[in-house]
Amino acid sequence: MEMEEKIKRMIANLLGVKYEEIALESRFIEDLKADSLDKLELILALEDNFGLTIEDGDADLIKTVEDAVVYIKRNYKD
Amino acid sequence: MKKIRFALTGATGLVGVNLLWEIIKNNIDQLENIQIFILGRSIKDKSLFHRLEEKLKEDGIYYISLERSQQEKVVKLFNVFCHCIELDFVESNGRVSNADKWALSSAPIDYFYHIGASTDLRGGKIIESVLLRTNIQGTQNILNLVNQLKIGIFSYVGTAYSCGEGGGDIDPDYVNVYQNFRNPYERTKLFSEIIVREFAKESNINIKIFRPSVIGGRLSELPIGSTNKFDVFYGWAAFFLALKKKEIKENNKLYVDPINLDIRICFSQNSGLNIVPVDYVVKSMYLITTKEIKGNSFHLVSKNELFHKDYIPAMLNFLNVHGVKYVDSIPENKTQNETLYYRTAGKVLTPYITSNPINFKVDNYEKEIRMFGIDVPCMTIDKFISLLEYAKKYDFGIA
Repeated sequence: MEMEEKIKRMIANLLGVKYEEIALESRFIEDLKADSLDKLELILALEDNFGLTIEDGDADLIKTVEDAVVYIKRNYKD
Repeated sequence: MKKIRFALTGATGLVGVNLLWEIIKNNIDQLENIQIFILGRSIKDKSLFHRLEEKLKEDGIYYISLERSQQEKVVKLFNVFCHCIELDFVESNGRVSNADKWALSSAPIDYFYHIGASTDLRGGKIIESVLLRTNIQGTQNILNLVNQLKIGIFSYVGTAYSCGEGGGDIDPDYVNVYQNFRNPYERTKLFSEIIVREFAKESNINIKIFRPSVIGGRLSELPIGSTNKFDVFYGWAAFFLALKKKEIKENNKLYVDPINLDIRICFSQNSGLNIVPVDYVVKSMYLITTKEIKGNSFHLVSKNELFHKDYIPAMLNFLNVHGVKYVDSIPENKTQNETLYYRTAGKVLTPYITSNPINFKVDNYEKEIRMFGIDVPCMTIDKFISLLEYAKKYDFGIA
């Protein structure tokens, strides 16, 4: 599975949103109606799935689906 | 008649805006004889002046006066005695426009208060970098500006918790850069304080260093509990409320319906948090500077710590949250809710609620301010609850 697709599926699962409704430019808070705890749960899920630690300052900068994909692509070592 | 001239950074923050109201309140009968320079940034489509004018109408007028005629007078004259200067003190190296520099330097600034700072209590490279730039470089930039002006008294707002993780009696001028700090915030605030002290020695300028503890809402000025910042203990309540909101979808039942949460909180049974009301902080700052009370360093704190074992259950009861257990060390096998807690509110607060008891000494100025009718406050559970009552109106900022 492509990384982008995998991340989108995780988001859909966590936020209870349809996969097709998630675009790269979707904003977690405004478009996907996530609250601060939802976003934290997503960060924890990304950490678990890709075996990395996302610092609070980096997590603050992840505001869209694309931000998450770019961050994981940059920091994930297979 | 010579005008009394004030300058403030951080005037849109909690301490800054309350100090602004305190200055106005103390000069309500002679507003034409004061000048207040506000150094700060406009945001997107709102100028700095309009941000402050809005705050004045929504909040400030109640602090300043109960009389309607005086409230109207303050609003009307606000743009006469309040002069906003566009300055990003982090990026600007202390440079302002020529017109603003002329305005600032046309006469001495009697009282300059540098309050602006980053108060992020978290860690990590990015946050630490912001703290370094804002608190240390930003303070240096302000001193570069101050160096070009004539200043009566320069005041700097640090933090009582820059004493680090040690406990016991702490003098207000205690400085130890080698201690263990709870977070980069404490370290950057101590280092910027040292920069101010060194600057004072070199330039022979009169300085006052103010060290507040954990700042809560107002407890003497109206509206009681008023705050614009829901962090530290408010942030804690916000965390539990956010968890509760996941289960209880209807907003009108958020506080009414009880909930059981499987969370073990680690804190010390014999220590507490020193919470100080913001109106005491600004009243002390105003008095100490304008009445020229002797000394350079002042703890702006409550007389007592509020024990964690008392206010934590009180707060949870207030939120109608049950089932929380208290433990001596951070649990190893965490539940999902515990993982969330120790990654957010718990991460920030655990270093504070597992510390030894601290007695921040205030005997260097306590008697002097009492002569002006101000007492160092005692914090009680009832007062703590009134702070929560105000925050409840805003759902602790979680909306």
